Amino acid sequence: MDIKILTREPETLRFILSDASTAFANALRRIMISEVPIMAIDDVMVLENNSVMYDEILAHRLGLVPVTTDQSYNLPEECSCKSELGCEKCRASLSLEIEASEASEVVYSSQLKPENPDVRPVSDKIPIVKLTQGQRIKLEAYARLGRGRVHAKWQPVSAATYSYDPKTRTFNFLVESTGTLPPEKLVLQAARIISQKTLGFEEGLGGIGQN
Amino acid sequence: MEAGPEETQPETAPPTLPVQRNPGGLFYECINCGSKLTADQLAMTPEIKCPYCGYRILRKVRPPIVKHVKAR
Amino acid sequence: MIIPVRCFTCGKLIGDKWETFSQRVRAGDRAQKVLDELGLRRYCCRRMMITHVEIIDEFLRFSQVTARRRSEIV
Repeated sequence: MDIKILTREPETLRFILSDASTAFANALRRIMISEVPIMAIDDVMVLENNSVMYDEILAHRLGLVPVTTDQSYNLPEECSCKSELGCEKCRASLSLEIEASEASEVVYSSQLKPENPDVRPVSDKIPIVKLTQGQRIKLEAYARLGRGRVHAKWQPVSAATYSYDPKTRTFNFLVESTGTLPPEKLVLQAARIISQKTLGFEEGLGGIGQN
Repeated sequence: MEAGPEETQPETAPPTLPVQRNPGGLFYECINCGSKLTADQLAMTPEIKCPYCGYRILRKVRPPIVKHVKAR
Repeated sequence: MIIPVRCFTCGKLIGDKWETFSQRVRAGDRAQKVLDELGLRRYCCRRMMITHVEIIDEFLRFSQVTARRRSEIV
């Protein structure tokens, strides 16, 4: 297998994969979309909210805000704490407390204060809600690791595609990350997950077929 | 916020209520004068009415409880 | 209501681009050019911007009236 990087923009990677099967290329693509774990807000504890947006809508938007991923966290299902709301090792919190003093004030993603600076919104300029004078929001949000197959907020890419050239037998990949993980790390993680799954399968076979 | 509407509406003498206009942790709020009431206080009159200003529209104040919402 | 955080179809982050898009189009630039410059290449992302109506501003007006009335009671 050979990989040649074509272009590298802040969140987009294009590379050519050669000497690989379609099965592998496609597996890589599918894993990138649905199985590479990344961080996203999953639990929101609302203390105050008298805005025009219901708590649930607000929480839904917070969940969709792309957040940088720190891969040292545990997946909630794998964490030793076995608790619903998690512990230090499987969640990172971000807090938001704002009271508007203008007639129309926008609450931006920059106002989400992260407890861990490595788990913070990818962009500071995402409008979350608009408030008017006297309206207050006070909440604590917990970001957890998760997979795209469970909820789209955990999908690390906005585009993961390839085209195949039958003459040269090469796959021309495009990987466009949402910013939560750099695209190279994403591709690498996807490859590792393929490996893990294959090993798991081998274990599951339990020695069948070996004489 | 509220400055004695009893003077402007002498026909309904306000009942003497044991609580202040802005106490903590009560359930309902008059839209007009902003005074806070409990469910029992509202039940005192046969029709639902703010005992201070007579306004008949009240709103339920958000309970001081932490609401856990899944961001999904 | 307010600009969705991501494109409904591909999941690309678009929320942070709305204010720029909206201001520039109102100022007279062609939407096609602004979308290109904002990096919204796919038409799934482009339609998110073009067809969005920020009605939260209308919802806010109800609260603004209440807020103004409350400040006048003092």
